[in-house]
Amino acid sequence: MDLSAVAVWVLVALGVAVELACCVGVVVMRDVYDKLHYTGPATILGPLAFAAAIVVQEGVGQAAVKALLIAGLLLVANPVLTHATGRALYIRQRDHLEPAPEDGPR
Amino acid sequence: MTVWLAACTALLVGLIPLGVVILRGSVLEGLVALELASVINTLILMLLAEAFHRPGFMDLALALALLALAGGLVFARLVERWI
Repeated sequence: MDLSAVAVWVLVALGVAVELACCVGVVVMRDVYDKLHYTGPATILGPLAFAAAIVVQEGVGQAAVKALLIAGLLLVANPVLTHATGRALYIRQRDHLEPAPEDGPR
Repeated sequence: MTVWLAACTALLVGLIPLGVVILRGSVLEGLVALELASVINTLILMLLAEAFHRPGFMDLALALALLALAGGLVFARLVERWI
């Protein structure tokens, strides 16, 4: 087994481990805000590890470019989705987006 | 079984607990689990395309990533007040 094959194995194993750990985190955490934190590594570290593994395996080509494009898209989409979900939870809990009087002056 | 197919199988197993959260948790917990499941499904499609040496099929993963973003935003907007 040459060095690139080992690198592919390591990167794929890293990606799978990150994704499964995030799945466990979403199940185990009790608060929705805590659960929301676990979508971060799953959309950043996992896709980048898989894309890097594909680049190592295939070299620069169609598959590598598309894999990097997918990883980049997930990288950009996750903060937007996380913000929208957190905002939805905040509004759902307080029925408004502005600070309440009991929050005190800013 | 190649490393890619083994990774796909492991990721499919990860979808099971997320399905449990979607079925048994609150609406927002389900939304968070759905967002993570969309990411994992995207990665599964990407790995399957690599496993079968069909880079053209990665367009499916790309389309799913785009549609999951749009779908997640729509769900989040609805969950704010209307669901």
